[in-house]
Amino acid sequence: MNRIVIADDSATARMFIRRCLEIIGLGEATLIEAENGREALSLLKEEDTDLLLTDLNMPVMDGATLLKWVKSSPRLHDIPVLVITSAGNPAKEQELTALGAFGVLNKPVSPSVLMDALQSLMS
Amino acid sequence: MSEKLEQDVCRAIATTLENMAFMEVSQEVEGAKRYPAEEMAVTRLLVHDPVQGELYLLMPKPLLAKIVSSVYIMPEEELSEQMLLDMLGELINTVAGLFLNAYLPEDQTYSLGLPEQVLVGQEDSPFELKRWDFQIDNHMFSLALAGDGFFIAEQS
Repeated sequence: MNRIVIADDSATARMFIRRCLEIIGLGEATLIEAENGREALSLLKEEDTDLLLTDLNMPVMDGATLLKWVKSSPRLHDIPVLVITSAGNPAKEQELTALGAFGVLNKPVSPSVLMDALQSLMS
Repeated sequence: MSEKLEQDVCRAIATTLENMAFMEVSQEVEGAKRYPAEEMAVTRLLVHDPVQGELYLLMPKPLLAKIVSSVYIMPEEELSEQMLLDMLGELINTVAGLFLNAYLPEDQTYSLGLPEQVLVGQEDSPFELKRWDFQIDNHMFSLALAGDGFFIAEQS
């Protein structure tokens, strides 16, 4: 993976995810951070992106809206979207998967859980 | 109040601090240091659905500095106030998710607001409020849950 966009309004959460990516060997990828869905959308349009990791609860544009925008865009809809949220449960996961997310992980995310999710994406 | 509500709250706090900061939380607060209002930071998170309520996390800034320092691997003197408040927001988000996932039925979705910093004393909610005290390394901190829905559901 060459370019990964991380969308979360919390700098702490973005740092956690960044560290997890580094631990699982994706530290070489260009990791771009966005503070909300709208900012993430602009970054996704700027350059080809291999993965979007997004929170759900964000100001300006939330993660579910970002997911809908990405999946309805002919240019962006192939980008895999992994939702990392504190508000995830089986019902929410089903809802987000129906919108096009390939997975939903609960916070606090750990490197092993993230690695499993990315491996299932690759396969 | 049922044991389940209490257990779910306490487990959510313990799991969050253990997983995010590798810190052990204790409910034994006798002798733990209590801080004056000016050294405390408070954040509030609204629960919109399926019940309306509020969660408050009240932490002394020296404890927050220890947590942020351990997570960012940075000396405490280099940390900014914003980093402390951001961590407090992330902690309450994670606690809320873990608590609601454990407390609500598995197929129940819920909706949360965004963490907002409030002044010390503003945690006096108009709703029924229950507060739990904890300590980490002898620093006392608290979590409060407000919302008649939580407690009415408990009583029925």
